[in-house]
Amino acid sequence: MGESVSKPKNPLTRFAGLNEARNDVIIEFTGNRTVTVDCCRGVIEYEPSVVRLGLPKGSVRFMGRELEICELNHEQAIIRGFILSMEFII
Amino acid sequence: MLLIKLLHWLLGYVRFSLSGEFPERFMNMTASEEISVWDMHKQGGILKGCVRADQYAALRSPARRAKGRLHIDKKVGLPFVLRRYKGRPGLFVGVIAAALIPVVMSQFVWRIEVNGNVEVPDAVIIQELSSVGLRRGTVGKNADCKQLAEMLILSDDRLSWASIYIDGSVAQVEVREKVDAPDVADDVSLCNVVAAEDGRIVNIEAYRGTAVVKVGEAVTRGSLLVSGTVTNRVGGTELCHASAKVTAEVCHTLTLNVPKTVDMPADESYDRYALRLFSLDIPLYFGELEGNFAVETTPRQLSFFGAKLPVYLITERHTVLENVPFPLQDDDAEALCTAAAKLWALENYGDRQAVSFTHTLSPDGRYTAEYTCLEDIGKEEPFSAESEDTPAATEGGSGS
Repeated sequence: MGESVSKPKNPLTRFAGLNEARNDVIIEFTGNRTVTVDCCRGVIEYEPSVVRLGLPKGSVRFMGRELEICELNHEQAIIRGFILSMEFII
Repeated sequence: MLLIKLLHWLLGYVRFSLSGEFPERFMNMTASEEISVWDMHKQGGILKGCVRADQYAALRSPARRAKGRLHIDKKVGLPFVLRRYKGRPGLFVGVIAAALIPVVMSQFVWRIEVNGNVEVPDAVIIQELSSVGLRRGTVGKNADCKQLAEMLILSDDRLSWASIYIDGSVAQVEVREKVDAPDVADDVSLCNVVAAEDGRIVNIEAYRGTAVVKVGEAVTRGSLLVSGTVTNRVGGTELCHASAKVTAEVCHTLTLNVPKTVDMPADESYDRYALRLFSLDIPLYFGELEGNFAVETTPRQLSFFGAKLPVYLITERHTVLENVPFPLQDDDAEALCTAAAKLWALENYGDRQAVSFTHTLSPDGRYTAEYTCLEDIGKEEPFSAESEDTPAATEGGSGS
């Protein structure tokens, strides 16, 4: 997990330079309904009430109701639902 | 978002569910293998999500490695809809045709509207347009409206101006008719007065010129009646524009044949319909009728909410004709013919004073009516002063 993310197979993605592993995490909220986590390193825990995502260093946990992972790829995760709180776990 | 949903629908996607103990591992593996999965959520301990239809097979390996069981809930999207109707090619052809027909058909002229005409009927103008190259079915884009308008004016002397504008599939034709200049009375040019009909002279009123026939004389068509040559006081000869009113008894003949048998319409008739689509007549019936029929055709243009369509419903009324002996006796037949002859005389010579009306019916069924009336038979005929055939020279020949 973390730095050991595999390189993208899509040549277009590689051409665009998205294969470089980044360490700067960007978490973007849209209200408390949607949160986008860039530089996500995978899902550690997923329940409708809690989502824990791996980061290059540590992890972040979102708690709420009816949480769902709208999109997940090797760089980004989008979580939608009613988000109550966020917690960094280092 | 809507665009993404539309794209997913066009490409097709599968709603799946995964039961197992390690859904997180499954998610991570799909992400690392770049399988596009979205809308993942848990419902009753089962992970549900969506994946593109062409990537569903790739999900099996991650599911197996995550010790889960993959199950398809629903297949959504255009590819699955198309697959459902794969055995019905006619449906696809119909859809494509429905999309193409309005596009293709709007390239043609299907209706011609004529405005501004008073004396010249629409049908005549449309017929002339057809002869110069604009008719129903012409490709509107290729029509040179300016040239067509000029050709239309040239083709009909009664038109002074025309303009053609093609709007979609409708050709608007605007015309103006010629206003003729009033006739100028010509009393200068040299002319004689000759007989326009055969007849017997009853009265001559020679206003100018010399009368060469007398009352009671019989004349034939073309005979000289009043000469344009006059003798002046000193005995010289002058040429002038002869003018006269020459009244004569003229006999007009009408011949009718009373038939032995006649085709009488029976009470029996059949209506047959046909659809005139653009320029093609499509019969809405099978087979041909055998026998003797009188056919009356009535086209009716169909319209859609007031807009006239280039589709006509043709009604052909076939009335059965029965060949029966002429139903009237000789007296009745003669009376019928006489009535017809009087009607003919009234229609053609009603404005003239009648002299006599005689009629005969021969045994072979030939009816002859002779209608004699008074009419002005004088007709001006010009001549040239340099001509060798001067009025004096022709006087003797034509007066006989």
